[in-house]
Amino acid sequence: MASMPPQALRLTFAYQGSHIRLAGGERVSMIVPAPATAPPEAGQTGYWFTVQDAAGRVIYHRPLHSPIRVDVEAFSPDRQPTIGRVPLSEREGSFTVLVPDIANAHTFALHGPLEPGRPDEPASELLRVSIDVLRRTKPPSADGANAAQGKGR
Amino acid sequence: MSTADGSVNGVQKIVEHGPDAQRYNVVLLGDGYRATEMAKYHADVQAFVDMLHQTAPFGDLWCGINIHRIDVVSTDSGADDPVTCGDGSAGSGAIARTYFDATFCGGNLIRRLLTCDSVSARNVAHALVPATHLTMVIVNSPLYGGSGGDVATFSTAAGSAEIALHEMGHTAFGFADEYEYYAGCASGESGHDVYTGGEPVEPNVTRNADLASIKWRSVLSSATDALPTTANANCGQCDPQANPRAADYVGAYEGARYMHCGCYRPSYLCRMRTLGQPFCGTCRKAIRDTLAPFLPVAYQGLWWNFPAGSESGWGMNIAHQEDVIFATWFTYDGGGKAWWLSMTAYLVSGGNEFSGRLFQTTGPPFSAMPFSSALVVPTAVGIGTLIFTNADNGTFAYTVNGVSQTKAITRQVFGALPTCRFGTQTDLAAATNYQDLWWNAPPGSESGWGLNVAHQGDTLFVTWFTYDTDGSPLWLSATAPRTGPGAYAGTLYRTTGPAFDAVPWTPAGVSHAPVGSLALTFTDGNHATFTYTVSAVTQTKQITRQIFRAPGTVCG
Repeated sequence: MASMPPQALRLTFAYQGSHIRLAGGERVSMIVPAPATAPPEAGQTGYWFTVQDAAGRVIYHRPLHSPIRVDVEAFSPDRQPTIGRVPLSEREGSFTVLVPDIANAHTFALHGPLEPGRPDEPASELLRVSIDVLRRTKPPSADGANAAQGKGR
Repeated sequence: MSTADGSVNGVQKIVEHGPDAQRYNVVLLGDGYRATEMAKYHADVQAFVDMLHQTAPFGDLWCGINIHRIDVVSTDSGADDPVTCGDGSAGSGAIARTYFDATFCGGNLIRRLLTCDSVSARNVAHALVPATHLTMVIVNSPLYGGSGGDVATFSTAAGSAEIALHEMGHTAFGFADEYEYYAGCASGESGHDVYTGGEPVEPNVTRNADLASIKWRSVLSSATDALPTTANANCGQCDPQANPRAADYVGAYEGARYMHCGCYRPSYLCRMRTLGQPFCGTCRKAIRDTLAPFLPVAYQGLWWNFPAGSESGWGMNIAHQEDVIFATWFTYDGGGKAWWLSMTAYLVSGGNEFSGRLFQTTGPPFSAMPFSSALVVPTAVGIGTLIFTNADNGTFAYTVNGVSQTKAITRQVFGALPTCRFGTQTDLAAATNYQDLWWNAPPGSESGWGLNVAHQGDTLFVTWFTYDTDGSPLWLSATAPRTGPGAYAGTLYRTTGPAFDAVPWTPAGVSHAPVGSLALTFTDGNHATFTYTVSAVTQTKQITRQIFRAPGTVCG
C-alpha cells in the first residue's frame, strides 16, 4: 500500500516596522528541510522558529537569516571586501517558512530580537500560533498580504 | 512595468530526480528576456545549474534535488537602470518593461543592488511548482548585480551567480554572514568592535571557541589544535593577520557576523564571508544535514527472496552509491557448490531500475599470499535487472547461461534495519554503522575479493566472496555478534544448496558446514582488521570501504 506523501505548511508572514503578522498559509505535499543545528535555547540570538507538541516539546526548528530586513547586502566583485551592508530606510516586506504538518504538531512559534536592528539582543518569542489555526489559514493574496490570525508583537 | 509586461509560458523540470514531494525543489525564473531571447534564457539557466552542480557539496547531493525552469517572457530586454542612485553612481537611464520589474539601484540605495518584485516571483513559483523550496530570478542584464531575501535575484553578468550562491546560504540554510564588519573594514564604522550577545543560532558562527564544546566540533580540522585559531589583537578594527592554517582548515577564527571580536567563524574564508570562495567545511556539513531527507534511500544492504525466508540460503548484497549498484549474488552452481556472481548495475529509468551484466569470476585462492589481482578473470555469463518498488522490496530479473528467471526480493531483517543514504557524510571514518562493501586496504590493492557487511543492531552478517583452492568462485558467510567496542566475531560457514535456477527452490536443500572463524575489528567507520581461520589457514587483512562513487553511502 502506498504511503501518504509528507505534508508541510507553507506560511507567509508580512512585517511592517517591528510588527509581524501571519499573511497566509497553505498545505503542500513536500518534505521540509532537516534541522542542521541543535534546538535553540533561551538567551540565544538571531531568528528561528519552532514547532512544539502539546507538551511544549520542540519537535522541529530552523534558523532564519534576518527575515525582518533592516539592511541589504552590497556586492562588489572587483574590490575588497566583496560584501558589505547598507541600511534600509523602510522595514516592510514578507517572508515564508515551511513547517512539517505532522500529527503531533501543536504550536508554531517565531523567535527573534524585539528590535530587528539589534542582532546581539537575546531572541524573544515574536509570534505564536496554533497549528490547527495554521491548517485553516488561507493562502496569501497575490500581493503577499492577507488577513490572518496569530498572536504577534 | 509589472506582470502586465509579459507572460508566464510554462515550466520545465530540467533536473529530475523523482517526485517533487520527495525532493528539494529549486525554481528558476527569468526576467528581462523577450520571446526571442528564450534560447539565451535556457542557456543562462543551464549555466547556473552547471555551476550549482560544481559547487560543493551540491554535486554529492544532486540526486536529492529537482530544478524547475519557469519560462517568463518580458516585453523588453534587460532591467531598469536609473540615472541617479543613492550611492552617487550614474546609470544609463534604461527603462525596461519586464514581468518582475527588475531594477538596479533597488530602493535607491546602491547601483549593484538588483531587485525584482519578489512577491510576484514567489507566487508564480508556488503556483507552478507547489513544492518549491527555493526561488531564484535570473535577470537578463550584462551589468553586475543581485540581492537576497526570500527570493534571490542575480544578473547574467560574470560573477553575479556568486551572489545567488551566497544568498542561497542565507535563505535555504539559515547561514549567518561570516564577515567581521558591517560596511567594510575601511569604512571607519563604529559599534562593531566586540560581540556581547548570547550564542548565535546560526550554524556557522559562534561565541564559543572551546575545543570540547564548539558547535562545529565534528568538522574541526584538528581535535587537538588550540582554539581560537586566530584572535584579533585590536577589536577596534578588522583582524589584519593572514591565515595561519591551510585554506580549508576548520577551527575558530575571531571576527564574524559584523563584529571584529567576540564572535568566531569556522574558516578563514568561506562563501559566507567572501564571494568566490567555497563554502567552508561547517557550511558544507550543514547543507548536507539540511538536505539529507531529500536524498533517495539507498538500497544498500542484504536482500533475499520474498516472502522473507521462503528461499533462505541464497541472497544478494547490494552496495548502492549514487546511481550505481554493485550487487553480489551468492547462490549455487549446477552442482550445488557455493557460487557468486557480481553485477555493476546502472540506473536506467525512473529512479528505481538498475541493469547490468552478470559476471562469474575466478581468481587466486583465498589463502594466496600475495593475492594477485592480475590473476582475477571475470567472465560475463548474463544480464540482470533490479527494479525496486519501494525502499524494502523489488524484483531481480536475470538471464544466466540462457536461463531467465525473475525473483521477488525483500530486505533480510535480523535486527534494527538501518537507513542508508548516499552523499550525506564525507568522512566515512565517522560512520558508526559498517553496512557496506569492503575490500583490502589500500583500495585496489587486492581487487577481486571482498566482504559484504550487513549491520543491523549489534550484529553483522558477513558474506566473503573469494576463490576456492582451484580458483573457482567461493563464498563463505558468518553471523558475527558484537564482542566489544568495534569488535565482532563469528563462525564461518561454507554452504551448499539447490542450483540457482532450481524450481521450486527449496531451503530444505541447503546445508551449512562450519569451516573456521572470522573476526572484524573496526578502528573507525572506514578501517578494520579482518582476521580469519579457514582450514588451518589464518590470515589478517586490513580492509576499507569500496567507494565507486564518492563520497559513498552511509547507513545509520
